[in-house]
Amino acid sequence: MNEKTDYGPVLGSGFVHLAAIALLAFGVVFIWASWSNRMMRQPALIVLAVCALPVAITLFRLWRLRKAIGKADLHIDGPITLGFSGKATYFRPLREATLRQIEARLQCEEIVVKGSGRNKREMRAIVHDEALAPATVPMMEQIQAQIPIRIPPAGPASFSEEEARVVWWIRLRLRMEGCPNTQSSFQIEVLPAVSER
Amino acid sequence: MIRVELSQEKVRNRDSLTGRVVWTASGKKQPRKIEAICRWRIEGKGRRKETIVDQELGLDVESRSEVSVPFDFTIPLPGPLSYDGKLFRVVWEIVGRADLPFAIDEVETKAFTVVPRPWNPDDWKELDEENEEEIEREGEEEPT
Repeated sequence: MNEKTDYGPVLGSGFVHLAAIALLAFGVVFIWASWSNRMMRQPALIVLAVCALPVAITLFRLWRLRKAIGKADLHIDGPITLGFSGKATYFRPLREATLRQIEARLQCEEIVVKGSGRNKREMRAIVHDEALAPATVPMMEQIQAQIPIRIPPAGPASFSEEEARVVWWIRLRLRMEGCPNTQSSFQIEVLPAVSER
Repeated sequence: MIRVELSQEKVRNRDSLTGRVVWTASGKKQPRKIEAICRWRIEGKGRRKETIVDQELGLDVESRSEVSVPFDFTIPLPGPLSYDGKLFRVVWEIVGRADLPFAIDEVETKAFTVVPRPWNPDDWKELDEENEEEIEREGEEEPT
């Protein structure tokens, strides 16, 4: 019943990657435009090499990250309701890296859709943001963290329509040694029922 | 004149909301029908949406000075619950409508709140079973 999806590993913000791709595109266009001029060929190749550098670095970091850590999984016992109190267990295989620090947050996000067709766009707002205190269990070749979570009894519950959504997230930020830092986000479904304590 | 009367203003999901829509003659126009509609809608900064959950019709209205349409609507277990957030709201309401011929319909809306029911795994088991049955039925109905 509960959806727990790993949206990671994420390597930095999307803007950085977009800028790197834009720079590479500029380099390709530059070399294409300059190729007819023999004098410009060598400088154009240098420009392309410089423009390709950020993408190359990103790909190298991604390769290192994929090599060092495996796919993450989050396990939560029982269905999650409003007022739920329990522990989530985070697993992630480790190969050639070690975990330095782990930060976790419980977030509730509202998403609404404005317009339609080409003018369709989403607006987002965080309506609940709480720092969690994960406790890591030292293990060989694996990250295992126990994360205590408590969903506020006043809600809101998860909600999903084409026009509007309420999404609960457990977001993790991992500071690593031996590979780039990374993030992981899990969507959890909070049922419209309240656990009475 | 039309008015909506509710037995309570707060209801839990999967519980029933009872009440009545009352139309009283105030002119010469006689309605064709009286409707009691249970619906929820999304309003706020994004696109709007309206979903009718159930409705009750009163058709026996001819030459009467007062018509009462009682209703007993069950709020679905999956909700949604009433919600007032930063970007949008989920509003539950009962709409009473008198369909007047060649005139603007008389409409009265009364909002109510849907709050979460206490957690009971059996409720959700039943819902899962109902959903599975529905999927099976749909599968059987589909031509091979």
